[in-house]
Amino acid sequence: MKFNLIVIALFLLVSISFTFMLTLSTFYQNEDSTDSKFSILDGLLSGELKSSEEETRKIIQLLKQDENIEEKFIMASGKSFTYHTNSKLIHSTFTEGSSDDTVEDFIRKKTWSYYELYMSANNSIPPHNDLYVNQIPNYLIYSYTNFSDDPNTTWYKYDNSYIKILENPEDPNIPKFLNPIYSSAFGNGGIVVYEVNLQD
Amino acid sequence: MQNLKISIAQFKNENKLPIIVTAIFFFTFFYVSFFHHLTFTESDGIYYFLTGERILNGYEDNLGIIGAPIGGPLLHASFGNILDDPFIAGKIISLLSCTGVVFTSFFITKNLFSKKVALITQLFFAVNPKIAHLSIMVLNEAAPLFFIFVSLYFATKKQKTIATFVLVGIFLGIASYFRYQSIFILIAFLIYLLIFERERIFGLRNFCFTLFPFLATISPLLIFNYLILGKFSTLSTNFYFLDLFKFQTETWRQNMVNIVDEGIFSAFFLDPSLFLKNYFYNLLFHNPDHLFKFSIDVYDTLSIIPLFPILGILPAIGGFLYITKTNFNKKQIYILISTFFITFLLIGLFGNLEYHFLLLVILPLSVIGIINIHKIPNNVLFLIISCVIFLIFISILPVYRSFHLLPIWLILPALSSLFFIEAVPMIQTRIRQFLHRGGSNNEI
Repeated sequence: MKFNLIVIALFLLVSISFTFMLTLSTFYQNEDSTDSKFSILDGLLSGELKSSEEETRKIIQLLKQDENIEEKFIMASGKSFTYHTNSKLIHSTFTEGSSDDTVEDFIRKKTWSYYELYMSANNSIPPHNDLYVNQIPNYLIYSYTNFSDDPNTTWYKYDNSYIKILENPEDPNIPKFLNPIYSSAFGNGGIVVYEVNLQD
Repeated sequence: MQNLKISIAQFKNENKLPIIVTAIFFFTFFYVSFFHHLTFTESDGIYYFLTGERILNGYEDNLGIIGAPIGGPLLHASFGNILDDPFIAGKIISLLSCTGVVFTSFFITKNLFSKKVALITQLFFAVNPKIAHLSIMVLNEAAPLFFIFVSLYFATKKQKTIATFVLVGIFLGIASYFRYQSIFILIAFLIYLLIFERERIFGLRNFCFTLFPFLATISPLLIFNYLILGKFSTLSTNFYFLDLFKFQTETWRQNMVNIVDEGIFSAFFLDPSLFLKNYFYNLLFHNPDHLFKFSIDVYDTLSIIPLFPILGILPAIGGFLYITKTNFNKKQIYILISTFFITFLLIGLFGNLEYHFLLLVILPLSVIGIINIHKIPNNVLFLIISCVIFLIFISILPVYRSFHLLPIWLILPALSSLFFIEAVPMIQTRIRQFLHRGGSNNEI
């Protein structure tokens, strides 16, 4: 057989395998996921894969149990929870504010810059022009990942350790007005849902 | 009607394999999209759908759309309303657009090279992880990519009529409704027409036949932007600079926050040196990194060898040297070595080897390309020019996903396929001849 055809076939095979694994990891994750990039392969071989969308569906069902969910505000980075529950979204990337903030300062947007307020208002559901409107969320959905887009990012890699405590719903430093109602952790990240009992 | 049937039958007979590849791609990702992706989780898709709904309902809040013009939101909202399910609508848009990209990739490459090379290029498209990703996710990337590819098909045709130039303008105009990046392809095509069309007067005529249909197509978009949002372009570059620039200082960031609504020039004059530092970092490291991944993390790459992405650069360079018919005589080797050392010196004096090392490859290759420019077929030249122009413009920003570079990606798998199909057998023959000659000499 011709050498060049063998090389092309090899390249295509590698690409197909890579595409398969990437597509698989988009929609599934290992039940016992680890930080390893090959954990999805382990899961595939051991037959312990679960849908990545399962978490989202569970949280949506949980939120829908609130009869007045359509009137309520969810603070989250993603839009899907609000979209599926017909509620309202206060958009946040959980990187806003300053490092001296407390969780309550953060939720009240006390030190958010004009830019951060603008981005939040524009990405919220419904979006609005009033950047300084007083909105306290009824739910806070904090999702986190250990992956970084640019691990070499320089100075503006802010210290938001006061927000990072939300990763662990059992952390004693979590303020009393946050009531964890759902949490799930997987190898490279996780998601925690808090009910927020904070007065205007 | 009879003629049409005959034409379709003839087309099917002549293009069986590319049709089969396209069909396999379609059914594979139809299965993935409709049987494994069951919940609408894409924030981008939801954002564009809801924004489109606001526009269709009168757009009373007049809030800007971050990152894209109104085409994507309008398409997602209208189709979503027709099907009464925006998620299904979004998946259909993505799947059909990517299927179209895979299909047209064959015909664009066939405009440049042989049918075999075109088929291998199409296969590289069909198995590419990023094309797969775009075909199953509800994002705003696949539709403009498809329209850009249709325009590339017409732009690379060997025999162009007035209608061809008009269609290039129209399809790039349609793509601009979704993503402004398609304008970079238009600029590349216009530059190509002005510089490389042999008959200058016809170049100017064709320039107009492309530009005016483009302007006519995007004029409703520009009018909408101006009347409703108060400016012709909704591109918020300064937001992206603030969010994505690698090199920032505290003062720069504080000042930048105050000019986020302004244009690119205000961002440049805020600190020209810092802006240029970021620009050259994007141009020579960050953005090409998404093509060939110089870093260890291999996930986000367009390389044809995604497991060892950096190796993907080799067949592309091989194809380039083959198409330029480079004859490594003493003069060319001298030019190559001196360009390499001058570049090395310039990087040492003004740059940073860690981020600008790619210049050591690009500049010598560019010199070879310029020396042998008359040997490169015109339509291949256009794709190379569009690749360069696109990177020069897009690099004011660091692209954050490799699929943002798909509009210019075709030339890389096409050159790689050319290398495998035509250059490798030629090299094999030369080696065999050399060995045979060596053997004959020994016998004597």
